[in-house]
Amino acid sequence: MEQVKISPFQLGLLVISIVAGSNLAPIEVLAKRDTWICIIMAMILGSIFIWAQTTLATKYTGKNLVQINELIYGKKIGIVINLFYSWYFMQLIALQIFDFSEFYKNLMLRETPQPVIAIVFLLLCGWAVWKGMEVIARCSEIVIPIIILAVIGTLFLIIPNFKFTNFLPYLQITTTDLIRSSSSLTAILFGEIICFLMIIPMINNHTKLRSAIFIGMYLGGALILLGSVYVIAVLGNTMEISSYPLLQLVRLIDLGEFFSRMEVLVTASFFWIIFLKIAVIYYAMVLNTAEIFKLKNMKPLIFPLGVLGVNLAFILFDNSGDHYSFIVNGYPQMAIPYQFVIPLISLLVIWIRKSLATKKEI
Amino acid sequence: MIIIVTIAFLGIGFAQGRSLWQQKNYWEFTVFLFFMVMAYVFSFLQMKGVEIPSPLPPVKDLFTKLGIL
Repeated sequence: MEQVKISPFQLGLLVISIVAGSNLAPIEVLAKRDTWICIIMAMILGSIFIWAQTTLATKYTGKNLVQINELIYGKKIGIVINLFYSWYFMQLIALQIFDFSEFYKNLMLRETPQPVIAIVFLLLCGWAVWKGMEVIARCSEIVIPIIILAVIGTLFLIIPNFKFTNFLPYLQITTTDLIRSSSSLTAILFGEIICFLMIIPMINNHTKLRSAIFIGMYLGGALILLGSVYVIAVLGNTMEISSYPLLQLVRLIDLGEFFSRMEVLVTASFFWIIFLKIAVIYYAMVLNTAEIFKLKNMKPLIFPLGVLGVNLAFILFDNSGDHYSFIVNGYPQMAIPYQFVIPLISLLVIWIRKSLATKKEI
Repeated sequence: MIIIVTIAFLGIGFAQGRSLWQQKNYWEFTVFLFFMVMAYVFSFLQMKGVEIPSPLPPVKDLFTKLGIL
């Protein structure tokens, strides 16, 4: 395998891309005008998820998810769990690719078949994966600060359209819906950070690992929260009829007939942030599979696994309604075992083994 | 379309496969071939319009189903 090193700063930026890259998911649909409360709740829940994941990583410094699972569960069970993780990463790629290609098909490339958009985009991501994690990390150093500035700058221009009454009546959400929406948002926004367990051994300073991931997670969450607050404040109830409320919001910018058509900037930001997100997950998936099969080099798997990912995207979902329904109803239940339950069980196994060992010593 | 995809697969498969074979990485070659064949079969079926059942379990809303909420 390639010997790469990335800094905690680059890791933090990549975490931002994973969290903020979920902006195409139907976030506002889950809790409508109380979405901002659910995002804050999701950040708290997500912290628990990340705590479990990073604790696992710090207990086995220098080991990735595949090696950790094999050490904890033994070779045979470890391989089975790792194969499930590989499958999960592939599903993640399929979901992201479908999201992205659908977004571009609906808004810009109406005449282009959706699979063509998906294939071209995945080829670009595959090329980044071929070049290695260092290249993806360096790319994030340029792209993420520009995106943050562009999005915040663009949103600043919409302040004149703010209607704070759109938040009222707040806290109308029931406890049941609050828990359901928050757990869904946690899985959609923060749980995907699990793929960094494949990349964590590449960090050159392990002491800053946890802080880098947490800062990245909170900054990414803050960006999503900011977007959501703006959408509610400007669009109000009309956000429910738009598939991409953030884009709808930016379309309203028209300052002095000069600052208009700003959606191009936001669409470009979406493109780059989703590119980084898919590249990271793609890298994690290929590395995971290569580690399972004990390959010396992961590069031969980049092309076939990418093609399988694109195929899976169109096998899983027939249309956007199907995809949308799965994200809202099925995704959290499918993803939470990988994102939280398995790491938590792993920590429990470590703890039980440790306590048994100390008992024996006594 | 099928012809173009087949040529692309053959080209990439031959280039990558030959490199692995020449380096005597037979295990890598086998794994690569396995995934290439799988990827090609799925692409072929998709292009032919064959309906492949979704591998996702029919999870609608587990919270409601389990009566948790």
